[in-house]
Amino acid sequence: MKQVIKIYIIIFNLFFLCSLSSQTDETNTKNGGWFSLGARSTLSAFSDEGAGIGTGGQFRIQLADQVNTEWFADYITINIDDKVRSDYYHIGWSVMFYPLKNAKKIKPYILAGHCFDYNRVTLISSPSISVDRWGSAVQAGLATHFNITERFDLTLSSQYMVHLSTVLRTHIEPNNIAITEEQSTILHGHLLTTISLNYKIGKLWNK
Amino acid sequence: MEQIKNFFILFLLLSNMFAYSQDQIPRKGLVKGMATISPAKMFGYNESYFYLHGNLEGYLSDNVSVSGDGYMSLGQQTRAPEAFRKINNLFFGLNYHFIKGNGDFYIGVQPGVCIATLETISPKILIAHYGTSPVFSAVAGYNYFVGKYFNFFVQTRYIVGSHNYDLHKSLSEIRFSAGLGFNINAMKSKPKPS
Repeated sequence: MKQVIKIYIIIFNLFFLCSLSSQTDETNTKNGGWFSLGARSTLSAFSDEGAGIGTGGQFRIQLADQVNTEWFADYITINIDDKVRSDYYHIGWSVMFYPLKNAKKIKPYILAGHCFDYNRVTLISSPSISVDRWGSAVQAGLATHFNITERFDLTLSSQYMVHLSTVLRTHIEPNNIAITEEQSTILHGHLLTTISLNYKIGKLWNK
Repeated sequence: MEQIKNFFILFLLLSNMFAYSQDQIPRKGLVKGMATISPAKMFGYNESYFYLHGNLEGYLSDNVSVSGDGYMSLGQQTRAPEAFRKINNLFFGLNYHFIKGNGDFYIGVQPGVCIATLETISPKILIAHYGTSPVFSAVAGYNYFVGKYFNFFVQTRYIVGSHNYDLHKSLSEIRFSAGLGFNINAMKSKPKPS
């Protein structure tokens, strides 16, 4: 629990610094208010379960020139040795901070956030054998927008998601498969690399 | 053969006539749709399926469109024992268009889902369940707009994913679609500066 509190403190400090730096100039809110909608594909890697592919969508609400927020939902499935399927459902949010004020075509950013996640592990050959758990996670990483037009961008992001709840582990032996629910270690999670396409629909304020 | 040649020449003449006599058709506000039969080839297996492919697309700007596509499995041309009995897909994403006159080349990325079930011919699969799997797809295609309401199109789609229900199988596949589509401009074109 202490680990969870530490992670939350780090993330909220990061957000606080982001919001402070974005409030130093009166003109920095001219891009605030943009509402974007997009679709995403995600590659999950570097977890003890192996690699998987996911799909989902997101919307963004830009708060200021250098601060944006992303609200996402995705579904990722991982095949473990052709015997077990691990499904992840994420729904969450991230704060995005643009360190370069005048970047136009390529706009890098730092992102960090929180999500709720649901994991279900199922035997592929016997789908009635299944274990699931609900949990929470935090994620942080680096990303960049490739602004193809003023309103349309392709975004590539890579973030590490740390699970803050129990973990479902799969033990595959020649004649036996066991799924156990165990306590999470400090950095248990997966690296999520996402490609997304987004379109700025319109401004919610500052029109 | 002579009739086909005559038809082709007539089609080209009509296409050019429409192309030069009207405003640019592919632009912001265009809504287009189509339905066609789409053959496919799986990678890694000797399996070929064909689908009913439907599409609805709206142009958000002159170069960007939002597109939704659905594929419904109609059957397979091969007969593998561990083949899919049904593969249905839904895709949603954005396309970027390179427009020249009434010609419209585009590329796009569309994440989606695949709802599939396997055949129960093989002794390995006694009961087959429907399963939903996330998939990624990349699209490239060309539309040629003939008048205000019709377009000819070709499209190819590369799909990546895996089906992990009852048996692990890759969903990697290339699909081809072509035919006649319908379009309508939902917004008036801006007057050109004199």
